[in-house]
Amino acid sequence: ETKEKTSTPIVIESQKLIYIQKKHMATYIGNVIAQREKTIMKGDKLIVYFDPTDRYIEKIEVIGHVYIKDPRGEGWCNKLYYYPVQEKAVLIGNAKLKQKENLVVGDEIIAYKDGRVTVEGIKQRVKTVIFPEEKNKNLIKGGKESEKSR
Amino acid sequence: MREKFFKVAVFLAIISILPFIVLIMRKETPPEKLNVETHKKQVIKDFVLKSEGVKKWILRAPKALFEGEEIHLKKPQLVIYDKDKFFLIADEAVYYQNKKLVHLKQVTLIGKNLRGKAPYGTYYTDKEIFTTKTTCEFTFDNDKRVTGKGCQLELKDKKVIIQSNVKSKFGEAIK
Repeated sequence: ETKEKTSTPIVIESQKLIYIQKKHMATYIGNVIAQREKTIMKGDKLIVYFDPTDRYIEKIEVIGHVYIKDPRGEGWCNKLYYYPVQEKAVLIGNAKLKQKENLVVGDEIIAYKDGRVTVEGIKQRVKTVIFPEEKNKNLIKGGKESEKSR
Repeated sequence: MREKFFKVAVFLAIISILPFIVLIMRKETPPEKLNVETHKKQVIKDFVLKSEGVKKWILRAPKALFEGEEIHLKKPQLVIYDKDKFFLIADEAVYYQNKKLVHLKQVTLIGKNLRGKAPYGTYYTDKEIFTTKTTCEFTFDNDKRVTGKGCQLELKDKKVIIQSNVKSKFGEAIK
């Protein structure tokens, strides 16, 4: 399954591109949208860092009005670092991460492949809003009905 | 007696001038001014042009037509000797000697793990820069493909700049 995963291409669109093969770097400027499988990233500017062989993407940096969405949730921030191999996302500056109903706010949020999230508050305090899971809601609802039927 | 002698002298003078007059008379009249276009166009087969000084590029074409400062080329190939060799191949091209540039039509660019295509473009031989206002497509390492409009390739730094409508697709770029 990983073989199949690595072969999925990453598509990036923007207004302008500057690609410097010697520096192993491609800079996309203006309404940038990048998509790989179900992961979408948007921002004002996006920089792709290739490894020294120029074949593989090591890191993607997105700057300005950053938005990221993938099956784990969606996030907003000023600057984002995305590591495609580890599928790890680091959201920096006014970072918000929404997973289902839960919302996490901080200066820096790291979301890992397995769903773990770490939040750091440097300038602002960390804020977390957690909603009870769906199951719990049913239980509560269920509980009320059983009281009625008695 | 004197009179007689004077007449003879005049007669001799006239006779000596006569051949000279005949000679002048016989001079060919200048040819009629024909309206023939002087031959400006020159066609050369197996045309080869090398850059001066340090060997930077060679321009070849099976056929070249000289028109003043312009050299019109059919199926030209420009070989550029950078750290790696680089080729520009086109259907047609016009080389401007004094401006040091080549306008190319249906051009393909081939370098080490880089390939480009554009309907039109201009290559500046001294700056080693290719530019086009039209659409362009570049492929790197066979699986990174970029398209857009208004493109520039700087050979020295292997730098590609695309001004608008950028769309890129990286195939196997993730381990």
